[in-house]
Amino acid sequence: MGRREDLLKIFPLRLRGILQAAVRDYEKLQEIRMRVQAPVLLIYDNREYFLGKSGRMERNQNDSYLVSREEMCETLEYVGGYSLYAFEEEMKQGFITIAGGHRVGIAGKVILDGGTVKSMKNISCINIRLSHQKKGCADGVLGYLLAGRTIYHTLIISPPGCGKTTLLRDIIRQLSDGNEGRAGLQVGVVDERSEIGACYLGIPQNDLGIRTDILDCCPKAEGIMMLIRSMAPDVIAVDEIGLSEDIAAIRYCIGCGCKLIATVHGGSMEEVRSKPFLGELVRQKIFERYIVLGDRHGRGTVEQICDERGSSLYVGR
Amino acid sequence: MWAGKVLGALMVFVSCLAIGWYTAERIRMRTQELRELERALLLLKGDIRYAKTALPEAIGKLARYHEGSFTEFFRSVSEAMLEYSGISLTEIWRGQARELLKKTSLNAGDRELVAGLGDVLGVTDAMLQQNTLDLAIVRIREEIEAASEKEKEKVYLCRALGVLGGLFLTILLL
Repeated sequence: MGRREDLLKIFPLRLRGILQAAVRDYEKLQEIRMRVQAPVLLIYDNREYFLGKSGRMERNQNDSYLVSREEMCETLEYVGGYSLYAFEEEMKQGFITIAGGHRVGIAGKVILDGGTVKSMKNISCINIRLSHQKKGCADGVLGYLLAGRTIYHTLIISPPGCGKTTLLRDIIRQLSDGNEGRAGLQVGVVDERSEIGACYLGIPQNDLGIRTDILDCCPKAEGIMMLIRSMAPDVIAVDEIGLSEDIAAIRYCIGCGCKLIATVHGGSMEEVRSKPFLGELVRQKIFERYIVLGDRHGRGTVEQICDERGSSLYVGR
Repeated sequence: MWAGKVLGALMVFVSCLAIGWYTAERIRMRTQELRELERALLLLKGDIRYAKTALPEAIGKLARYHEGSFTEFFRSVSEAMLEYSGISLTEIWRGQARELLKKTSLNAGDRELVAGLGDVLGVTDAMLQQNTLDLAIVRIREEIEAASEKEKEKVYLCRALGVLGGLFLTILLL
């Protein structure tokens, strides 16, 4: 099933037809936002449009298509593959990954059990973020990470929305696949929030390379231990580290001879150095490469690449 | 003349006999099919409870691994769900139940019990899902118990009625 079909099948028939007529290039479509009794919004080529009843993308909302409560329920039924109970854990986190790797964020009335989120009901807002894998975005940084036949322990530092997961995904793919001059490595991925592989029914929807094993929806600390014991990886990749148990698992991983690539929220090396648990690893020079991302020239701009002492190996202009 | 009468009487007798046997067989088959249905729902419940398997896959598995009276129904439901043709699960389930369960020996009450499951399957709460299936299983067990208790009597009665009805009509017509 193609990218367009994967996406369209989650909508009720009428909305499906209108979207089919309105959207020409699905590569440019970034988001679809639905709210009960409100117009459908499309983020297309970085601009916001209203979905018109006549099957057009409009700049004003006069003729926009309003979503009914029934259509919202129906959409949710299709998003969950008629089996919302199977996505209970994902719903607690507020999103479901569908075929094609697209992420469906949901909001409604939260049901609590003993102070923790148990489930969600009366869902009235859905935000579909389309997955766009950017193959080749790690070409420029990969050379700095390679250390002979293996790689350096690497930390990608980036503010939210600056492309750290996209970069991590491409690094994983390239390390796993290898190329003519470089053998591929066995890569283990612990994908706690299904962001790296965007697994649907256990199968990664993003290309993570031919030598990649993925633990989907698994807590990072447990996942790292499990992968080391079960899959003997050369490299372990994790997204958004920071908790004390993550740090303990990272120490174990490094002690086992595995190489690590991780990401963390932050704006600079100094900021990461001052973080409570992670800062200790930085001060102990555990990570040998740091890639700092920003958005000066668009998402995913590499601002700086440093070695373990913090000396710059590359500075973006 | 007499030969024609005897042949006609024989045909009437055999037809009555066949009706009696057919009715008895349906009664016997109903109990068997209810047991089959109970097993299928138990497997479905297990799949939902322990593996959180999505319905199209879980129901598809029932069709693949359990040959029986409900294979076609489960296969059709699973295939219709995988098509994502913009039809809700309730409509798919009820539609297929209406069409395909007629071929089984289930009575109208049993068929409605199965069709009603389509209204509650697929909801958010796995616990609610299991409770619904549990309730359906309990009701099926009650039906099996009631049916088994009287099965022997009813089968015997139907067959006897077939024979005696046949004899009565034959004598009457001769």
